[in-house]
Amino acid sequence: MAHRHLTDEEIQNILDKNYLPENSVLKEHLKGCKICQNKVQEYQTLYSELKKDPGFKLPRNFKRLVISRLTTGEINPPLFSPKEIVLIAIGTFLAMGVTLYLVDLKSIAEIINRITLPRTEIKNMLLSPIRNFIYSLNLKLTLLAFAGLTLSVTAVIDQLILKLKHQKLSL
Amino acid sequence: MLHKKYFATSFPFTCRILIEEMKKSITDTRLLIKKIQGGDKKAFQSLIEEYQQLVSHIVFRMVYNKADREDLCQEIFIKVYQNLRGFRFESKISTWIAKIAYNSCINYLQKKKIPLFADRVGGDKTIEDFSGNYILPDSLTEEKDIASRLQTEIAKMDPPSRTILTLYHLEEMSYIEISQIMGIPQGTVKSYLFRARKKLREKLMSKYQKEEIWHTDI
Repeated sequence: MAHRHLTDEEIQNILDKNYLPENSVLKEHLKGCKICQNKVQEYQTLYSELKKDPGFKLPRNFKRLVISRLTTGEINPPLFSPKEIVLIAIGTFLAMGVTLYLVDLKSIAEIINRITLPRTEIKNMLLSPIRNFIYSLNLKLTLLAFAGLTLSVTAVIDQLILKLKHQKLSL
Repeated sequence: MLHKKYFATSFPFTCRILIEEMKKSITDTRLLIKKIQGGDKKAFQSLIEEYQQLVSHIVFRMVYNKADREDLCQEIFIKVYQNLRGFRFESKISTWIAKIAYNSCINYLQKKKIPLFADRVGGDKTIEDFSGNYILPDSLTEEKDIASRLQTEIAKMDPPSRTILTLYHLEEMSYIEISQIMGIPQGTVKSYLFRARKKLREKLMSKYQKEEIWHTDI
């Protein structure tokens, strides 16, 4: 017989797996130790009691109550409302506008000008209008407007991030 | 010898039947979910019927305010319905529903400012002080037998331990499933479970006469 008693963890492991290895030291000890046998019996009783239903029952009309709370079209509401989609579009547009304003527009036009395409006609047809449009842009935004735009974009992004986080947490 | 022969012939047959049953069950669940995703409310009723016990067990263990329990169960199923389109069959539907139920209970407890873990209880208060306002249904207060005594002791534990005990023993879920539901590592689930059972045994042993509980009521 082994010199030490079985630990709580060892007993729980045995009962969880419902298996005791053949000819193991544990088995030998269990055969001759009353203390461990009692402990195992106590755990067995605990296990069988834990399997019993605590008795909390939902009312019979529970299904109907849930169904009555569901309204048509409630399934999987859209991620963003139309108002938010408009805000996203405005935010994106403004962000692009600010980016274009901050970078040197003429240099972009020059880059486009330098693009080499195999056929001049294609180049004229596709790139020239873009280049001419950029040359023609004459943005004179004030610093205040720029700050306002930045704030608007940040607010829109914040709202969206918060909404996504909230949805994930509440699931 | 006869046993062995019988086992050798019947075991593969039994396995095949079990596998077939499992396949059928998976296909049935998939069909049911597809129907609900298509807006079939009758199919959703079947889903409620199948999983209301699972949800009620989790809510029962997490929330002790009788008045709020049923409402919470309803809200959980409404959330299930609203989000079912996002279910990608990456886990079992029972795990997914249990996760929604568990998170809803956590949100409820946070709203009510009830601490989740015993070590996060401030001041001189214990977890029992918080659950004391809600716990102990009438049937449990009498403490007539081991079952009701056990329920009383479980009620004094922190909500995650109570949930793990229920999911493991009552719902017969694995460590992996429980860890997915509660969003904690498998090792943590195991240590919570072992600690909870050890504590339950010790509590019951120290509080009551050994013979009275363990040997007369069996």
